[in-house]
Amino acid sequence: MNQLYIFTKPPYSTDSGKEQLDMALAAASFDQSVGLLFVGEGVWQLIDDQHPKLVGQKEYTRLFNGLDLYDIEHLYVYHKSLTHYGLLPEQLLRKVEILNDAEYKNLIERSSQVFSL
Amino acid sequence: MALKYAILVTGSPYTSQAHSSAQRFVDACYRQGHSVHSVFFYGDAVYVANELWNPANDEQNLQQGWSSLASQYDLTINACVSVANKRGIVSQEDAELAGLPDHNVNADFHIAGLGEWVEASSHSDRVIHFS
Amino acid sequence: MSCLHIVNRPISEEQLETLVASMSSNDSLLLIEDGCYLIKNNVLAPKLKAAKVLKIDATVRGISDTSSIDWVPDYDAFVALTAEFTKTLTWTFH
Repeated sequence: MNQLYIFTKPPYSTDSGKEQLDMALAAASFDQSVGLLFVGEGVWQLIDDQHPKLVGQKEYTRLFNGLDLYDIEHLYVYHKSLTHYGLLPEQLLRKVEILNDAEYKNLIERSSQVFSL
Repeated sequence: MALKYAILVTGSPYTSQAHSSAQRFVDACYRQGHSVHSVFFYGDAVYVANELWNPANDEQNLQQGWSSLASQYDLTINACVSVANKRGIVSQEDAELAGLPDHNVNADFHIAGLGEWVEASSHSDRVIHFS
Repeated sequence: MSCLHIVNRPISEEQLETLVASMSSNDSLLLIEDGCYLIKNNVLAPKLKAAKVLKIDATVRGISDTSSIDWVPDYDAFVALTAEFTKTLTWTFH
């Protein structure tokens, strides 16, 4: 099964990003092929220079850097979501695949299951 | 063609319509000759498994709705263990392990790991998420 | 593979554009719950693509429209609709 998890929300004000990541990690550990896509405010999950400890929260987004260990190799960002916030790829905490309109549409089309929690 | 559905519910019982919609969807699945592999509660949806629910008599009882569907269709309803525990929805077994003074999971609900959801979603023809 | 996109809450213009950009030619959009209000949103309604509306949820909310809405009458029809697509995606922006 080829699963895609879409992050649409920023981190910290809700636990849904962390809980969606937990679900993706579980799926990958059960041998599903898992990709992560960041759109809209979800791109803020990937911003470098986060300081959640200032409000007593865990910096779970650091896990996005270690996903190779879980066999999650593909992180995608929709290009318009970056430009919407004036963000550049080098401001993100890791290298990601930036998708143009056609690639974005194609990614959703070819995934067998798609989630946005 | 009869299909098998896996149902994911993440909406909170009282700040979303997720439970009400999902229950009507499950009922309609069976009416249409389809079946449901299982229902998985994740995120704030797990609050529906708290056995101490005590709504007023004239209010919709979403927990009762799930219990009825579970018995009518022999349907498995699972609440995710990790997100339930952190929200204070704790089975007897987990309460004993953690040394908590009490437990509060309605007996019609199973406390399950994410692996059970992965299994359900990968062995179903359709996955529907109510948030 | 075809996808039934589902929206159950009001969304912003940027969110709708993100969603519509993800839709392939075989996909449809189904508005349920508070997503039904989108058909009455004069700014966003013209931007909806291949949109259907769960009529029972619209009726609950006092949304009635005699114009050419592609109604999905009830949950039986909702289930039947999901069977026509290879997958569903509930967009959760909030």
